[in-house]
Amino acid sequence: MTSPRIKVLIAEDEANLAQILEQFLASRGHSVTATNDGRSALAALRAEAFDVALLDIVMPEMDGLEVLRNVRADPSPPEVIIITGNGTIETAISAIRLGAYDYLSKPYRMAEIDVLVRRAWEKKQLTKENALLNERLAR
Amino acid sequence: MASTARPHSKAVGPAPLPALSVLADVAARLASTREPAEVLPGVLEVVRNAWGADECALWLQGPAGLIRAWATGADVTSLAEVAERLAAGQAAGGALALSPLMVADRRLGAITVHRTLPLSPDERLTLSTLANMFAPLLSHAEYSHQLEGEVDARAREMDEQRRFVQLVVDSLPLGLYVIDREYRIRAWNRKRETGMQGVSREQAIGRTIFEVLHRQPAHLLRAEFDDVFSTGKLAQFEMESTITGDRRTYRISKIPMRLDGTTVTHVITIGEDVTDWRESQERFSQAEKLAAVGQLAAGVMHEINNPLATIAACAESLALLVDPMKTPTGRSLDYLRLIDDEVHRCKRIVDTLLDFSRPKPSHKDPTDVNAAIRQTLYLLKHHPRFKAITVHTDLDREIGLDVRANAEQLVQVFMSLLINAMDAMGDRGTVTIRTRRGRSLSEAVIAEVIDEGHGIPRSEVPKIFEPFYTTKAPGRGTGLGLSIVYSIVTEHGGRVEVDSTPGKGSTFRILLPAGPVA
Repeated sequence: MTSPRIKVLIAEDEANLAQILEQFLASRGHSVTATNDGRSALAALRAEAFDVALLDIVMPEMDGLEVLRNVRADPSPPEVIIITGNGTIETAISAIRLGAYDYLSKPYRMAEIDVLVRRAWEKKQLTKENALLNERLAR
Repeated sequence: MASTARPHSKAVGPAPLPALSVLADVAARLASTREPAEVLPGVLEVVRNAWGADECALWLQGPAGLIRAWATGADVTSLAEVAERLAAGQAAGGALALSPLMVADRRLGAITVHRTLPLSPDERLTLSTLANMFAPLLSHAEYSHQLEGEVDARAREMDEQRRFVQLVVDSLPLGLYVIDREYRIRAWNRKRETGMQGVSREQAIGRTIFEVLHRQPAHLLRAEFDDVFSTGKLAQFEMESTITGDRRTYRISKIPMRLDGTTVTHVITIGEDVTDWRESQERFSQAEKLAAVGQLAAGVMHEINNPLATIAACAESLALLVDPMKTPTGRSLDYLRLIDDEVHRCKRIVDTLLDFSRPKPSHKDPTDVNAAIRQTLYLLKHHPRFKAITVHTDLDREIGLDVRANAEQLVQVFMSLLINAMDAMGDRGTVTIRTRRGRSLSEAVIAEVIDEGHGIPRSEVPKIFEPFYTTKAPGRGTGLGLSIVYSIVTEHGGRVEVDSTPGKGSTFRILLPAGPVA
């Protein structure tokens, strides 16, 4: 299958989990960068453009929601998928309110993440195309 | 001066005695007694006879005015006359001779003699001497009277005080009795007459405590008292009794009492029914404990989900590496699937625990509890286990939208209670579901789920709402059902009660308020 090469950022403080997820998504053809805390995740997001960011909520330095809040206003921000460890509906709701594309609770199936990443990417493509079309119309 | 006019005097008396012999006679009579009142009538008679008077009287100034205290002979002198003469300071005049009784400056009263023939100066002097003799005696008597009055008043006061103290002791919602060193009952209050082992005060006072409380082992009772007598220290303990039918808890205090302030002479025993207090304490400490468990669970949850996520991810990655064609049995994939299944089972448990520890503040609407029960029964209808038992419903038709609640959560509550009942009964017998209206806003609707199961031992009852408490075989239940019942009902501002008799069955009672408590 000719899948797009999606640029994915992982922010996950569980090192083992981050590594497995990174390998899994890379094996699915994505270009993956893994970080272990919120601050380096934000730095990475500011350093280069990502299509999708997988943000764990509870992380040292800066939590996932805070990272989301920071990148939301950036030009061409990534689609954010929030990952929660304590599965409460409240955090999920606040993530969506902050503009997250979706949320997942741990433990998850990585296949689900792959599906979500692709959908998020499609959404991002649509947004991009919309923006281009709008630009053309405006000319 | 006709002698017939003086009925009380001798018609023709002997010649008037000389003044001195009158005084001597009077003095002797007065000296013969401590109580002048006893001899005064005789003394007055002596004087009257000596002077051949119609009347001889002694008047005393009482708190309410002058009174005729003692008199002899005819009743011819009026009170007004004496008062008037006294006020005027007029000693003699006409037939009436008067001498005031004075002690220091105080006038106690007067002595009067009535004789048609006015008294001679000699006789008047004798009269005033008599007055001077009587005055201090009467003053003393008056003092004694006062004292007597005071003693009376004091006795009355003490009596009143005693009655007051008795009333206080009788009004106490406590059983109280006092025993002395011989274990004899000295006080026994009303509550002890009416309460458990009610014995009337008359029957109790004076008897030994062992005779009266014959149902209690005497040697233990004696040891309790001896302990207080010897140590002089307050002893307190709790005891349970089923004498009134249901199980009550009493707090017994044995209080040393010292009449002389040093050695213990009596022991006061107070028995207080602390059943309700104890129950509310237990409820409170249970609520606290469950809240703590919830907090702990919530804290642990996040920590558990992370390693679970790693395990699940590893299993998933391994599954991708396993080539089903190359592995001899293909079992590796089965095992990996098993890991995945179990991880997600853990997740469900953790999620349920989270529901318990932080019940979501749910949206509440006016809800019909009966409808929630009917829906639960509908959902359970096709459950194979449920088909084996008999369900008896007794729902109060009066109940409408009486409570503000989350209907879905109520269904969850009844579902858990019914599953619990089925488990307790081993899938046979009758479960009764009963509803009725309560008597207050805080208990607007009361719903009961009554099973005929194995019941819960008393010592286990406080534990059943703890998460993971279960008597079920492993894999049959998570032990979270009742915890969630507890947490949902509590979140609704309600209460869960349990009555249980081991071997006979249990009743779970849900008391829901009309609206959530603000």
